[in-house]
Amino acid sequence: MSDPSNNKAENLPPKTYEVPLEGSLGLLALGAEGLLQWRKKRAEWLSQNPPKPLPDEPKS
Amino acid sequence: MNRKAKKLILLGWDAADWKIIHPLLDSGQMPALKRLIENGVMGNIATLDPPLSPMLWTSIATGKTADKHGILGFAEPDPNTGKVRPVSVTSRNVKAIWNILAQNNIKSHVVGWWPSHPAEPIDGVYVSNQFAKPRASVNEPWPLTENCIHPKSLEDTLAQLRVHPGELSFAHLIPFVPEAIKIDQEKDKSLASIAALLANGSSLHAAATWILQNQEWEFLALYLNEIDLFSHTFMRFHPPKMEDANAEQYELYKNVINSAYRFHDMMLERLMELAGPDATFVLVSDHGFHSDHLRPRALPDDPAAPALEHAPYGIFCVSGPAIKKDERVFGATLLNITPTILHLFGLPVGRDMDGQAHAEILEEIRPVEFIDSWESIAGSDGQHAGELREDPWAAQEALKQLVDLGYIEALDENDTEAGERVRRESRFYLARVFLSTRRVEQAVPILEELYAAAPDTFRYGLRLAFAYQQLNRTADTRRIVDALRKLDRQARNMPQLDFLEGSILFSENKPRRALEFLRKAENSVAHLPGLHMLIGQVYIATRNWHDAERAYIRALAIDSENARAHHGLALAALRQDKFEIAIDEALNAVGLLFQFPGAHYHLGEALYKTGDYERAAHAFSVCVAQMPGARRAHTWLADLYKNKLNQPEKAAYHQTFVAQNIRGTIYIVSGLPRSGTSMMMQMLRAGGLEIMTDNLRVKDENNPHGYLEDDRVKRIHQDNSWVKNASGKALKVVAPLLQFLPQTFRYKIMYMQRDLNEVISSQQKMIGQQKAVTQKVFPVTMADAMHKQSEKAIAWIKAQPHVEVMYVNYTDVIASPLEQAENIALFINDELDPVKMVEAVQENLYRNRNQQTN
Repeated sequence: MSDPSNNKAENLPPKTYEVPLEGSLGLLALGAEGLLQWRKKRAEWLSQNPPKPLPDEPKS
Repeated sequence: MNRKAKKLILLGWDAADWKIIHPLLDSGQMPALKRLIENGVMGNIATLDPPLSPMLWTSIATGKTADKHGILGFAEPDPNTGKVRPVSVTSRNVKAIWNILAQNNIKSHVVGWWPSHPAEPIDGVYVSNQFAKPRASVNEPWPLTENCIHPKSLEDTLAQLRVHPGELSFAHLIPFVPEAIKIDQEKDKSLASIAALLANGSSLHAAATWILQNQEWEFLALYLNEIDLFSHTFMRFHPPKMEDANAEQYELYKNVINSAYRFHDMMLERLMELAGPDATFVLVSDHGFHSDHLRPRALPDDPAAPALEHAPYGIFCVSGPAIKKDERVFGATLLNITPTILHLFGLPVGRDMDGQAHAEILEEIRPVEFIDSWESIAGSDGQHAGELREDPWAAQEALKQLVDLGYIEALDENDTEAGERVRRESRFYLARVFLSTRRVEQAVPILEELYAAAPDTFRYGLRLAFAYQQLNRTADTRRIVDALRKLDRQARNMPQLDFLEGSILFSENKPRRALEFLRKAENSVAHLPGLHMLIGQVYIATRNWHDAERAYIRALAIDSENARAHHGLALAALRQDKFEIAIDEALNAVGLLFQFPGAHYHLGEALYKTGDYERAAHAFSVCVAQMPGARRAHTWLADLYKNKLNQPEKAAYHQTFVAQNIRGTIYIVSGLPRSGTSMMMQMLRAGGLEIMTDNLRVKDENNPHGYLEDDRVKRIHQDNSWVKNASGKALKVVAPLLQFLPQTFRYKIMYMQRDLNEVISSQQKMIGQQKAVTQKVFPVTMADAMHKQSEKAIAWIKAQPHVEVMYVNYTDVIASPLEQAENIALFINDELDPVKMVEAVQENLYRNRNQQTN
């Protein structure tokens, strides 16, 4: 019987990926790691660029 | 445990097809799959019938056919409400591969299998196929479907890995639709559809990668449905352009299919990276998908109509450290996946499984071990507890009973109707499972029940007719075909009915009439599966080799990997002395389907004709290894070893083997005396069949070409021990003596039928009662006795399981000798030459014709 604890990929050396703000198929294909990195990048951008409130409608 | 896989990923790509993949591999667009193939074995995998994904993926995961595993379609009644729900894993009756591995302490995880909801409590992570279905817009809360994840402690973690279609941007969609910006999404929802598929697949892939990175694992099963769904929506826009495809839409969506495959290759690359070089991969699809001229232009209004777009062969690739490199694997079926994985993990295969392990794919081949059944082996297998696993159909019945008894409120009428429809379809799929596994007798009562309940449902009647035909219930087959033709104009002209009619006539040894219907079917729908194969068989039976060749070429244009079509083409070429083509095609046939004794036989014959005696002997040897009773192959081997290869001891072995072990069919020509039996014997002899005769009775004016009788037949009621010497030969036995044939042989009887007046007239003339003939005195008592003799003989024939019979009308033989000769040759099935048979039929013999009938 092999030791399944050896099979975890958590110790793979970290890779650096380009994480475009709009996402990419490449990031999705990376699976959990790519998805979470993309969401992190998006969240960071949103925190720096909060959506501006819409201007009030002109009063008639 | 002799384990050959340290860790293994079973990856399911629904509907993936080599026809799409090969060009992408060749152009470098699927590099991960290319590496997988180079590091392992690959081949086609035969699907099962009906080709419906939940049934197929459960067969893949269990090694068992659907009648055993219990998943019978897309939907089932909810046992609690009676409403229809998607099919669930609680209806699975048997253990899946992960249950067996779990109880053998192999750390296993499951993601997205179909069906896999609710999640099974295995000792690992289990993500059901309900995991990533979005139920709200992107900014709204998106709760997990209840019980879609095991263990519950991982629900929050894994829920974060779901991708909502609304999250995706044009950056994700442009690779699929480069001109996406042109699409008016108010009118055309295709982009939303692509986003939904991309999101679902990405969600399951993310869960799988998370497991590989964060969990101990030895086995992971990951199923992705997206190639199938992309194909159902966008294959009609895949190049080459279909005639009726909208040009604008074609330009927009022509890249979608290739892009879907490329994306799957990217996900595969990531899995390979995370799994590491010591992992074994089993990549499989449940069926292929027509991507060329076989794409149907329109689908009928049937619940399972989309399955008509499925192709019969999917993809199969096994790759890993212990697997042979860059080789092909043959004869794979979906049922072989679980046995193969068990074997790779060093576990025995259940004898109650319907598939076999591909032991030959290992570098170091070792014998497959067996266990009677895994079902009775106790252990922590992670299946649902007994009370959760239930038969939804039985539960529906129980629910109805409670309604009838007044204990619960009546079900909504629509629910009841929907439930009944689903029940019928499920029964229909069960019948198809029986039909496809040659258990026709079990299919018939189900189909009869369905057809009686819904006689206007064409597919029920059609399958019932095919089932009857397989059981040689010709009258019943005709009854159903006639009823189906009356359904409506559309049904009347269904080419399937012409195909069926042709098939019936062919089985009745009427190839010419069969061809009339088959050609009609061919004109209506040239792509009907099996049609060209049957046409080819008819031409082979009538020795029309040139047209047979054309038919098989057409069959191969539809499916280039049809081993039987390659074999048919080889035989047609062989009989036209095109030996090199015959060799190539026979090799193609055995390459695709090695267990194919007929193809090995004809390969041997073609090699012999080219003087390649060593290889010919090898081909014949494979034939007899696969079919020890192949008399002719033994005969060829005896001849080869004696006359060409100078190995007399081997020649003697084959001669002895035939003499001691092979009981061939005995061909009996029977009927009343003077009904044409001698003429039939002459035809058979002229056609090439060996005759059993002692030549004691010489020809005379009544039978100028001889009687071809054996005098011992007259005493057969006292001694029939000599009949064994008639094996493979034709023997004349008059009707009253048939009953004395020994029971231990198989017989094919050609029973001659002729107008009784003519028979008696001929007999009277023969025994010198010319006066009676000329005065037309009809011996009524004699006629009655002869009629009874014939009836008794026919009753005996019908009661014998070891007897096949063909009734041959004497008048028909005289009127259309070639057609009848072809029919007889087909019945004999021994490559008789009908043209030569016709030469034995001479019109001048027909001198006793009843004047009144002319």
